Amino acid sequence: MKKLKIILNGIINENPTFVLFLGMCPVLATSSSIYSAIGMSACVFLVLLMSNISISLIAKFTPSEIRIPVYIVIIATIVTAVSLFVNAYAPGIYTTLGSYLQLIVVNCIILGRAESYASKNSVVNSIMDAIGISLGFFFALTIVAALREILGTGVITMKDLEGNVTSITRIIPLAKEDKVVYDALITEFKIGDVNSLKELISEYSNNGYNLSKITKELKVITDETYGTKEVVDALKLAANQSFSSPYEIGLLAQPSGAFLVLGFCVAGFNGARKAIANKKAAKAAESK
Amino acid sequence: MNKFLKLPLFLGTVVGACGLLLAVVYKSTEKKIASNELAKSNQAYVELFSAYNASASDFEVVDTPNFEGCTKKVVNKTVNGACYNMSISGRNNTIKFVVAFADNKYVGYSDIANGEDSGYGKDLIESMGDLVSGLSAQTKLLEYSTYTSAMAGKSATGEPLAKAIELCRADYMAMTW
Repeated sequence: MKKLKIILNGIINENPTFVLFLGMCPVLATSSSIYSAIGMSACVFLVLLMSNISISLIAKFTPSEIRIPVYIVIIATIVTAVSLFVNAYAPGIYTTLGSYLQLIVVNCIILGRAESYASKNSVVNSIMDAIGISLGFFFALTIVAALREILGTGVITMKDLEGNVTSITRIIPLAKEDKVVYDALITEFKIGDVNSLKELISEYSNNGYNLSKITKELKVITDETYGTKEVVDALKLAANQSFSSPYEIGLLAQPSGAFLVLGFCVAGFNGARKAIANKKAAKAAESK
Repeated sequence: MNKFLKLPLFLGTVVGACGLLLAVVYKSTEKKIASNELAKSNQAYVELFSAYNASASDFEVVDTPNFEGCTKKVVNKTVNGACYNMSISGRNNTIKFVVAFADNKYVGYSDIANGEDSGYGKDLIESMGDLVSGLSAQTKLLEYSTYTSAMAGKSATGEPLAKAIELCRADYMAMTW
């Protein structure tokens, strides 16, 4: 029960992003898409788990005068090792996170938990703390990223570990006239006549539609493979990238939009947390 | 034990153990990272020459030219084309890319790896393909330095990039088919 409490504490009462306001740099920088948010959360989890375990193991023997340099050396080693593994086995995430992956070294969540929790508690409790704090970070980052991506771009774009786009799901609908064009292109993809499709693309491009992504995709895909499910899927992705909805709030996808969404989420989360705490307190007072 | 000896000894032990761990991780991931980059650059050759209906077997590795940043040169003799694998220092990190030429023009640019920041160098790198594709190979990219410098915060990435592409262009122009 105590172990579960440690995990819940990391998610709610000591949520690193919404309550403790730690690690704001990666939250603002990597919350532009759900894919990067999930990648960042996974990396933070690995680093936090390994750093909490190692620091909790050596805390007893570490002279207090040099504990901070020791923790930093350990954290930097773990971050470098994780970034090498991510580069090797998940290059898509590595490219998306860019320099923010290495910057986990200076993420105050990691050093903060090392100093305030792992160095004073057992290995098992430190593991629970790492799980709780990472889950809290994951929920916060994913909520901010989902709001920014959906409201800012109108779609949810998912990629595989290699970084190839696997799906683009439109959440905010297209304008009526764009939907007509989009449907016409998709129908033409399915029919599989390259020449009529090229004519259609150039006609719409002349009418002011930016269909460069579809045109590029067509150049890459050879005629022999045309009409297969893979080709239709690839062109559907390109079509989804070429259209944008007039109902999107583009500002939210920009870095400055991150502050707006984060502020909204912090206020909402803490408001709900306090309301629940007040309700509980009132109930306890009533039963007394 | 004397404190002056104990503290550096402890820190030294931790640093040594961490260094050893990193060496092991580096060794175990080195091959995989290299093979990822190789696959990405092989794919880049085919994509850059897609207009010429090129396949992977059309490319042949030649001796690496002796100029700064070039790690590999590949030629496509059927279309008199050449691809250069380059590795240069950007603003944050190493930038690896492939730039291709054929028919006396720039065929395109493909990013292999970069650690540049979105909004700065990364945006420039992403726009590089559209910038160079179709340009005459007589065009020195350095002439575009006004373009790269004018993009605030991007010149630290743009200038070494333009210089490296210019070296490739000069090598391509000197080739005889």
